[in-house]
Amino acid sequence: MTATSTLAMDPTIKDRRPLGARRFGLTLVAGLLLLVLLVAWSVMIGTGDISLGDAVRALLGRPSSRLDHTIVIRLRLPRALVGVVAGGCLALAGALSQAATRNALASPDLTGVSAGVVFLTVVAVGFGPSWIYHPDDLLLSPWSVLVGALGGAGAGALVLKLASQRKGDPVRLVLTGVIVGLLLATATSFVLMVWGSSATLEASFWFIGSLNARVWPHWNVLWPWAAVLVPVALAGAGWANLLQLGDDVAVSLGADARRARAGLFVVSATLTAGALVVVGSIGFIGLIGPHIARRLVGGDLRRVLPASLLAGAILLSAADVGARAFTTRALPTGTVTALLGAGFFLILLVRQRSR
Amino acid sequence: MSGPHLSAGSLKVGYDRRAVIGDLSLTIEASTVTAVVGPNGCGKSTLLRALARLLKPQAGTVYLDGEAITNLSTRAVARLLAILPQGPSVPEGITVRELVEQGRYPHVGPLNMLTRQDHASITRALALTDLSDFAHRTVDALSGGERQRVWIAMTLAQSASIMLLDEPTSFLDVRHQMEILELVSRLNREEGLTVVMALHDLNHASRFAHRILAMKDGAIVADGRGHDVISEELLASVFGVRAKIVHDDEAGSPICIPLGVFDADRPQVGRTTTP
Repeated sequence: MTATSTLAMDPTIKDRRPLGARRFGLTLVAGLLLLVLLVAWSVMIGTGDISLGDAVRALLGRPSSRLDHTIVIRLRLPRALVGVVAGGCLALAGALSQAATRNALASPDLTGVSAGVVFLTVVAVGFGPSWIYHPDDLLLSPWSVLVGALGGAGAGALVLKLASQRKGDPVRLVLTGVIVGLLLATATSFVLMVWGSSATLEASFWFIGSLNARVWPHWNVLWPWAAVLVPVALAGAGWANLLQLGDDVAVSLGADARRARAGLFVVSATLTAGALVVVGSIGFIGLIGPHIARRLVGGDLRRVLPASLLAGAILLSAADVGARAFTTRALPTGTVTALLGAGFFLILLVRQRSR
Repeated sequence: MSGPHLSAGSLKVGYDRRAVIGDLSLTIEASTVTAVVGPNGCGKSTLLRALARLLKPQAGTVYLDGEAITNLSTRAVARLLAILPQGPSVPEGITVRELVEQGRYPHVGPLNMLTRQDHASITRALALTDLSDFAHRTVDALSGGERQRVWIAMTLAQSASIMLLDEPTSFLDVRHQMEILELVSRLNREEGLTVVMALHDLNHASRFAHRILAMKDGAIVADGRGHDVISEELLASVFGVRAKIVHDDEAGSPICIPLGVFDADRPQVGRTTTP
């Protein structure tokens, strides 16, 4: 910008793309490969291990035995796919809410959204119409996602409102979120006790969060929502990028910051609800996934959002495989992600403080 | 060269119930450089934010090219008017070029696809702010001064004909201060850019602005060319500072040299110069 510089384009900077952008393609390919391996592994292990060859033959429609077919196609494949999509949705939801609130800790579990989803879903199961829940196979109706989303968005909005006095303090938002989450969890327990029928036990299994016994009907609840919400979420990357810069800058660039934030928040809550209604309250994927994604592909949400989707899918699949491969009992997947998340959260808190 | 002009009628602006600006009217002619000066808390930022529709006035209207700004879509406003607010914060991991790209938002279609013209504007904004070599560095790793230039580049990429800058030279060393001000001045001369900037340095204001608005307690107390506005009386009444005004023959503008704080305003214990 000195007097000697010209208005002409600088040709030297054309092809030196930033590290995050250069890594993007590689990250996606490597991530997809890893995901395929995890799905294959997931199909192989369980009560009665199946060799890779038999698993592949079963997947291709030529099973070695009728039992292989039943186990692979009817039990393990839907479970693996539910894990992939639910994990992806949770991490995508986390990335959206982190961008919308400009808070690296604002994942669905730490902002009360997950607790809100669980609470309103349990209320709907307990007091709502009977078609909303099939007690025999832990299956909620696809429309319960809307109920869950309402609960999640409501709880999240309450937390944002309560924490809004001191913006820019990331820990305050989380503290508020955790407190509201605890209150809602207590309320949920209360509803479960009041409701107290034979369904209570099953409902509390759903509540723990697991991929156990997730079969095709569960997949059929999940995929239509994902098919609608994931593209909507990815299309919101431009808005999310602007909101990351703060409201003043976003408005000065011509965005309706309030509406954009509300929109992203609702999409985030609905993604969370879609995943939780099917897999129960599985935590921390929405916190860890986006962080890993940012580390790998930089800060531009046009890359962070798809990378988060992939990271979440890998994380939940890996947690599920880990729970089954290294323990003899069917450890609920939610327990593994909670363990992962607690450690990760501590690291984040320590790093935040030392900054 | 005449672009859209900006004006305000009977503005009353504040936060909650506290009014920062009482009743302010002004017109900014197209293709001029205006500097807003005044002590901290006098309402400079508030005025700029109200002019740029970041703050909704409690009363009065801002007009952009004769049209009430509230009647225009925020996107349409963004194509005509850019503002660089004070101290925006940078998201983690974003690169210089990615941040500057955001400046094109009011021009891109619903799919956010950047056209060749968008890329040209971005590259030009980077070149103008001397950031071409930094394009692919992450913004959070830059120094305060470099970051400020990135924000200015983003504002330039917006290609608006009116630009409001809230203390654009804060955090910059003297060379980069000069570069920003010379850049603003050049864009005004060559492209008819209309500039309104809040400045702390009165000498910068008198050197680079066609018009100086001096504010105190939310009102404009002096308005005019540097020679007419910068005076010992103004520094005394607006800033409470005892100063000497000399004429700079080379730049042709007045220079003020603060000598001390007025005894009447503050006890003079160890405080001899407060710029």
